[in-house]
Amino acid sequence: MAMDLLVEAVVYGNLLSLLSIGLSLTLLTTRVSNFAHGDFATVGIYVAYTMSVLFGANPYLFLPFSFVGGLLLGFLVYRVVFEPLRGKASLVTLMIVSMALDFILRYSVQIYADVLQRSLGVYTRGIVFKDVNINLLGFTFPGLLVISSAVAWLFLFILYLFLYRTKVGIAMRAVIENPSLSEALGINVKRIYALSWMLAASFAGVAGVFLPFRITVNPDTGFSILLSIFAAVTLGGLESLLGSIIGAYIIAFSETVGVYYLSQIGLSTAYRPAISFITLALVLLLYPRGLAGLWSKR
Amino acid sequence: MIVVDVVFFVLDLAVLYSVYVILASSLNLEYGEAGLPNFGKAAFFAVGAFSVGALSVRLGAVFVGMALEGDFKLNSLRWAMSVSQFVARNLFLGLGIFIATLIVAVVVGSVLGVLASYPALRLREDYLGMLLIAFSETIRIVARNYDPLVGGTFGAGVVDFLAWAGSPSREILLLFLSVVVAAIIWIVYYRLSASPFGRALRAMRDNELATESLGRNIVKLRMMAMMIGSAMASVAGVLYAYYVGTVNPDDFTTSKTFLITLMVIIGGSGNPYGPLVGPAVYLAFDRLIQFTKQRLILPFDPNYLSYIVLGVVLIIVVDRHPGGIVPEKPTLTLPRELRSLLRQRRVEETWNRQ
Amino acid sequence: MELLRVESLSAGYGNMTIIHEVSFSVEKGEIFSVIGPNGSGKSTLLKALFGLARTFSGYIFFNGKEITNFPPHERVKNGLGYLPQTGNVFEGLTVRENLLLAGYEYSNGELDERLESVQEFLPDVKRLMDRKALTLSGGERQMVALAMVLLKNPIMLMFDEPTAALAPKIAEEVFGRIVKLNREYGLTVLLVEQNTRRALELAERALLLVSGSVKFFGSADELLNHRDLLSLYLGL
Repeated sequence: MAMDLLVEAVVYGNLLSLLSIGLSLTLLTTRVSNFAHGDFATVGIYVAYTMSVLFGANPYLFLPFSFVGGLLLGFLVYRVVFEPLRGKASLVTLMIVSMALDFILRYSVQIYADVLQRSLGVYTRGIVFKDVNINLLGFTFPGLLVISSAVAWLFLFILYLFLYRTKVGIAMRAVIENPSLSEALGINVKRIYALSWMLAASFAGVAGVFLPFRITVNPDTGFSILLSIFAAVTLGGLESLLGSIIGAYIIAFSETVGVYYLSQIGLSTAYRPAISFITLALVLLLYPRGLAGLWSKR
Repeated sequence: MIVVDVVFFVLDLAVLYSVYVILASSLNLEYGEAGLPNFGKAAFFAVGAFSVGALSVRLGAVFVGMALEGDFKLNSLRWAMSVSQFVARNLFLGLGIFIATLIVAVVVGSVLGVLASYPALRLREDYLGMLLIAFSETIRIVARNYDPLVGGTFGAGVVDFLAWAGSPSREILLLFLSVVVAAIIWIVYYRLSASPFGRALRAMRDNELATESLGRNIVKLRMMAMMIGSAMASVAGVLYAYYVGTVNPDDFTTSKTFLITLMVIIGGSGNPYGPLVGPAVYLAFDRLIQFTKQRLILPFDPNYLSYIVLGVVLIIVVDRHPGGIVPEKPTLTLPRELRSLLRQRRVEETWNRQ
Repeated sequence: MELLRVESLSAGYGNMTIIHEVSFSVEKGEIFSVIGPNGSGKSTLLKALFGLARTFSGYIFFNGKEITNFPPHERVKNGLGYLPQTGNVFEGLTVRENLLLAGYEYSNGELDERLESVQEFLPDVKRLMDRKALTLSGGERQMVALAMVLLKNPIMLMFDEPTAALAPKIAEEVFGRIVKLNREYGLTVLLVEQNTRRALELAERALLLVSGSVKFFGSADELLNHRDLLSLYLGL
């Protein structure tokens, strides 16, 4: 029982960390609290699902497609929607624009699901992926645990290398801190912004592929976990990438363990989302700097 | 047959439009005038509806001396029908239930609105928006899972307080009621907007420090704005609940808030006529799509299109015509340069680090 | 030879004009000081010259080109350097990373070369390489910011109150560097300064800016000895 819970928590943490770091990134660079972020994950799911239905192979194999799909989507979203608003829109307006984007993406996926069902005759709602077992060192592990951990930690490590060891990555950190100085030094700030959205959406797309392995998925699944993602980012301290990763694992563990205890004291496990919301509210009201406030000097 | 169809079509459109106008007016007051991004709007809408859902049957049962045995969740619909039968014979019973639930809704809504105004003191505007969304979802989750409230996922049955009027009088009465209530609320909003209170709200929105130095109590202004806005949203919830006949927590999701917000921005968030325009735009698109769906054969459910269209329209409006279809008319009290500077300052705060 | 010419420049932010119809010129190889009381628009002038403020009317000519509508990085490419008072280094990054970004558009080889020559002029930078910019003292930060600007090989450097908030001894070091850059390396200098006396002593020509308008443009010595203007506007 405890083992199952642990596995569940780790997998969920892997997912959330990929999702929260993306949300953090677009918040830090373009100051957008992106309500469409969950839908980036949904797009990733449906890309992998479509491919797995067309080619009859395990969805894990189509992770790269979801990644690339995310890159394209992120680029388009930034160029078409947010770049024209640069310097023109207030924080709340940007939030509202992301709401509109959520409507567009979410209901486009709904339409896509209908069309796909009609044309290929497959179920496109209530999607579930079947997991495989992986044998390592004489033990049998659920594929989801191994693959999601490997992918999540690999991506996070590559992101770290990018931000601290490459010129473009360092430029991104500079742009986050001081866009006008960056501009004056000749850094193409627009390109950096576009890149941050591409990273955010592609990470989300990949994270999305893991979702149907643990829950039934519909076109609004991405949206339904959006608030857990926001809770993770808020807990980490809204202006910290490292904070969001830690926040993600904390939220993942809290929700997983919390749900277990809820059932022990006779409350419905459907209260699960409340854990995130209450965390978010408490952090914002009591200690808005979040976890990052513990180590950041500024 | 056709006449009945037309009556129902008009009723549906009128009630929905009225409900949305009320909701849009409330958000316009809170965000457009006072600058408070109340993204918990769905919760305040829900409060009104939940008051009806939780109480209409129970109150009705008390009034007629009916004993309610068993689970609320499983029996509320049946009980609602029984009480409605009593109402069919007694006009005053119906009105009594309606008025009682309305009062509860407005009181609870107002109190909740006042409570929600406190975080506004300490949080940056986008964080405040997030907090209110979290608050809204929490209320929905609780209502969804705490069955005795509104029957959890089954929803709650609502007493038909107009059961004493036969069709189509009943429908026509409901239509008039909605439209009249919406008109009253909108006129109240319009008057508030044009009054010194409205000017104070807008001054607070544009520059808190200056407003405070002029002797205005920011805390009180916020509280009043949220209280009035929430009471309005609550009334919308009451109308909605009685129209639909049942109350289901899943009707009051964040998506609903998003929908209202989009309507407000498209209509024009600083202008009192905005809340009349925004809902009209959405409903026009929606009905148009419904209408043409019967003519075309599409491989998908065209209802989805209304949302996509609305989203696209909003993005275009924000990019090309940021004031909305009816932009805010400039106040005569601040010089043009100062107003632009204040607006520019708000925008710059987004893009610069302090 | 004229390096910078400003004609009837009006600039500001949003819809607010801060400087009105400002005209002056800077000769190649000279030190040119801009002085004036607080809030007179000196900083805004520099920002406008660099492209960070809104230009409403007028012209800016630099090194033979009209740069009035050039974005900041274009002006940098044409040899204009700007050292603002704040926000001139990336605090969260190390000095090494800051310098790397200053040399963003250069290849590795070219960057190393330039870094070497900058370090010749500012040898202390070498020992600060791995320090986070946030941890540097005011004077050290100034130095790093200067190194970053010098990496771009500017022909003219604009300084915005470089000695503000610095101890007198460090301030003199800064003035010393500025003079050295001018006399030994031939850089033209546009200096905005609160320390009126020193600013006028070091400069050949000067501009007195009051409430966004030019009250004097000409010889720095003449301005230094002009009791009336100085006492009227600067209380000296």
